Amino acid sequence: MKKLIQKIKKYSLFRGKKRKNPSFDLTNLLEESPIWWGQFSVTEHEPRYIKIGHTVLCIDHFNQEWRVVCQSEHGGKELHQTFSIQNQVQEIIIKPTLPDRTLTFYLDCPIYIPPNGEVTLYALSPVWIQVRMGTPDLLLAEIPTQILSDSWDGKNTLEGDLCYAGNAPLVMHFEDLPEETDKIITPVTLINQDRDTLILKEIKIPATQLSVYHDIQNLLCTELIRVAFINGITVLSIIKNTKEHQKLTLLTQARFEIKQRFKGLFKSFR
Amino acid sequence: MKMTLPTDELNKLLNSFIKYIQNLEFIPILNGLVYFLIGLMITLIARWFVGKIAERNISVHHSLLFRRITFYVGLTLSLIYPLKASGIDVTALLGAAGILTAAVAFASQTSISNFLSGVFLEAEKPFVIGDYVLVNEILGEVLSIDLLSVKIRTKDNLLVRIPNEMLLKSQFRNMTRFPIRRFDIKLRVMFNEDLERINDILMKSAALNPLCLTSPKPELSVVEFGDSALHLQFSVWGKQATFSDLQTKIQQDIQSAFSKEKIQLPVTYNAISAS
Repeated sequence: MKKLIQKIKKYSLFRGKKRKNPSFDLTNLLEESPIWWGQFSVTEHEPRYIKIGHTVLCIDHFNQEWRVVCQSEHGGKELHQTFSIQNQVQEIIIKPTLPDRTLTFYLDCPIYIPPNGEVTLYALSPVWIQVRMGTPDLLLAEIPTQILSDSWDGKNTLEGDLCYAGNAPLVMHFEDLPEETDKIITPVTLINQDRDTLILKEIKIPATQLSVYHDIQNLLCTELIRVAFINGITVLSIIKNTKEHQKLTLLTQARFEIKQRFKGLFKSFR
Repeated sequence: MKMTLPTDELNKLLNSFIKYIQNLEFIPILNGLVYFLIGLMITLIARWFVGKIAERNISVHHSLLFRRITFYVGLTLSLIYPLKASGIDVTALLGAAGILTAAVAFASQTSISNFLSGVFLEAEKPFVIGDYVLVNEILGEVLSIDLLSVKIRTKDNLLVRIPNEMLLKSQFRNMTRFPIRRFDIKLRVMFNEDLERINDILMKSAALNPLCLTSPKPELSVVEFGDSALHLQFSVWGKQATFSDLQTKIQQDIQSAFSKEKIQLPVTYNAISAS
């Protein structure tokens, strides 16, 4: 971690200039804290380091220039963004959000759901970090903690939409979920109300229609998705009125609110 | 010797001119002029109106076309009606115009063919402005679809003018019509290579490259047993926006994966003997 921060430090705004605090100060670093989101004050000349899973976010500013640097512990490309902000705000807001496209999870082994059967799976989506500031919120940057592979969601190669391919395996038991602060959990309940066995090979999460919450254990999660297969039709609902949902605290609203139920996000083969 | 006109003749000329002016009917001419001005004003307003509607509902490019058509039609009507109102017989004029049109049409067959081809291309819409098309080995971005030709800008920033007739007659490819595209990589491997291993290496390279789409899945196929190597084709899909990047990066990834796995690509040797 120290090496990583030293690496980010060399990209500091103050490179080549005389710094007020020449020695490296770790007190601003939020290590081991599961809560990395919220409002933070960033003093001039004193960069703020925030650890989100395997990613370190560094924010610093000098006068009206703000810089956001993001680096993963596993290497990969660093992200540098510089902003010019006219007002004298010293506080930034860090929020988790979901990716900006549908996430498709491909199952290595298909799951067979018998008639009238039900199964709940947990999908893990990588967090996208939103850096905001000011009132009203000005979105400075949206940084993915993981670069996901592109994929195509469509009946054929002519019509469809681009989506992301989820890279974390689906989990059947809540206890098996890893405690990672840079992942958002989406519970998906699949109900087969058909007469035939349903063979599930892939699951698509409508990430743009889900909000991000945290529970009392500070795990990031979304609303429950319920999918019913009836007479060859797939009906998807986003459930918000459960007892468990009432205990959650909203962090980020969905990118797009859905007005009605929509179909077709789940693929099954018979 | 001085030359002077006789006074009598000068007076005669003046009198005939005055008589001519006196017999001239100013009112119809004035009427005609007023009708022309009104017609011109209506034409200009109609041109603006048609342009705005076309711009909103169709495209900016088509609005220019419709504006021109409206202006010329309006101008023609604005000229014909006032002439008639002035008392001039336009039937002969129209007759002459008809003969002139036939002569011009005969002489400008190519232009008319190009014009009609343009109309059919507009109706069919095989491409729009901004698409990349490949016509007769010329690849470029469509800049404009005009009455007689289509203008293309090549990747090295050259302007190419392609007559509409040629486009309608020939086969061309629209490279950017659909949001995703397949990239076929031709590979040659030694005959004794383990194809399963090659398949694993290639699939892993594609899986690690975020520009390669996970779905549709990449595919490896054996094309043929060549003279000195096995010919393979590895097909990956990518989105249009980053297709050029994909072409470079996936091949780089494959090359480095092959180096890492110590897979040697075959080299063709040609033996030339001179006797």
